[in-house]
Amino acid sequence: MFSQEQAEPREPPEGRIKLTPHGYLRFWSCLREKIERKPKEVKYNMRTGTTIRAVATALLVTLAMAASTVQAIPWSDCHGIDPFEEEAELVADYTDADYAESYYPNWDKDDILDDSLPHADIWYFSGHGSQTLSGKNYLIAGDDEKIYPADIPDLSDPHEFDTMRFAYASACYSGDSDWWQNDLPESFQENGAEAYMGWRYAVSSDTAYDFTDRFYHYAIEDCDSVETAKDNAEGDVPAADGNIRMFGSDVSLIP
Amino acid sequence: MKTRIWIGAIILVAVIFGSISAHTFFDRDEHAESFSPRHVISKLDPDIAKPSISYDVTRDILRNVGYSPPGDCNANLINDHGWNKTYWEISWEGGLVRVKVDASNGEIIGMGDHREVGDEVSCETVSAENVATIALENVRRITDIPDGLGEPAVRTDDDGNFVLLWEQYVDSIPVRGGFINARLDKCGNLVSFRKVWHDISVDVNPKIMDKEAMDTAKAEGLNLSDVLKKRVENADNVYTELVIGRPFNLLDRDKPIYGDYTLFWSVTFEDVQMTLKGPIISMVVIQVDAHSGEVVGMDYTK
Repeated sequence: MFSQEQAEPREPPEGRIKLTPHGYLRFWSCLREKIERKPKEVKYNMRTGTTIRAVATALLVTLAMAASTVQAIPWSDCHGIDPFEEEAELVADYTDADYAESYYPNWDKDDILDDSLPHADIWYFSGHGSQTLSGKNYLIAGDDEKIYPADIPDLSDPHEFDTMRFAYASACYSGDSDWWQNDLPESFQENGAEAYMGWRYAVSSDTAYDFTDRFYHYAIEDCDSVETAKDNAEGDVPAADGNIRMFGSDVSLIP
Repeated sequence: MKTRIWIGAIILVAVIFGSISAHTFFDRDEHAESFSPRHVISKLDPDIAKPSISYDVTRDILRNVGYSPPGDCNANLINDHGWNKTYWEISWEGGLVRVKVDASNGEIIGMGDHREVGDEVSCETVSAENVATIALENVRRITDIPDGLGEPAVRTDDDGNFVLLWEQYVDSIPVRGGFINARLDKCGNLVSFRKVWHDISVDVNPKIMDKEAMDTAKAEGLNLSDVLKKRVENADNVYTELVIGRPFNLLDRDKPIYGDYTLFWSVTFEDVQMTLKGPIISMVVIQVDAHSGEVVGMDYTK
């Protein structure tokens, strides 16, 4: 529980998104098993390029002593990885969030419901989603537990910010809504999220990856509102057209 | 003496390898990209990338077709790994108006104008029958249209806008990622368009057939994680499609997210479950090179 003082909205740094209690936005990636993570890729620029070459040379001195040939990891050896985290890393790159800060390979449904959702200003999920026999949609957590609309907690109290501004569940059927029952879009909004975005139907990883990268480019680098960013990214990716859906207010991610 | 020779040789080899690897993997430094090629979108530093079409020339191009971006517009040079193009992206009015100009040839390849417009007198003339003609007339005022487009797929969105999509084909083989789309409002005003049309030079004659590709894909699919493996094992439908496209390198982080244009078999394993609202479809797609028979990429529904 936050004290009154902690509950005061914090002034965001200029040009940055508001921070969560742990210093960063919350990102959750649906990983089914622990994998060896590579260090976050270095952004490419002239300054780092020089460093990289020096480091690469030094590393290769060591490697040359150890082995005569260095083999790349074959594609087939990467199997077994459910690579939702990479899409989350795209988002983290845009938001300057330290992805490792909130990366828990073994997180489960309780982590999401107790530690992530109630406190996040901008929330993002990458993982599987589906529907029940009656068409009620849900997300699938890392422990294979299902997060139903009724599970979504209060997103505004207690909260470091006024409420959750924007939630994006990058998962199949996460944006499907029915008039006769509460689905995830309604549940997020009724519990305090100002805006929610999800996929109406099944979506391929390629399409979601492509769309998500473009969406955050527009919403964060170009400061578009979420609706405008969605329209622009949807135009860029025909496979997303008519599938991605926005609900709620047209908020801006950059205050 | 021998030790010195060994050390010298090792350093020499290391320097050569270091130089090669740094050049191979990090030569994008020269263009100062904001992100790695694992991103779809990356900004470039124009002073370093030095595009054939400068920003000033781009503004002139836009003026010629009736766009006048204000001086404080948002302008970026974008390396689009998804489209395989480098373009100027210029936006104003909070992103409501955005234009993309190919930085190699000055062609306008994208426009979106999401500002509110008033009712137009021509509303009643737009219909499913003539909307393609109206769309092409509008787009042609801004950019060239390739010959032989064929019939577009047409749908209406939740706001009643017409959405049209022409897909690119080479010798009747679909080109993934090659398209022209357009969105028209109910009154026939062009809201947005994109033109992502590629010069393709791949051998369109497959050396392996669909049956062989299917076998390869199935063997590969059974190595996937449990969730995806079940989809392959329990697939209700398995089908193949010969396509030209860029393999999706989702699992190989040592490569850019999209590969080079390739002729490949897209082998789809489709698991269908019924609900009261209709079928839920879960898919795994394995991309098998139609010349070498190797698995070159994969995709799956989330």
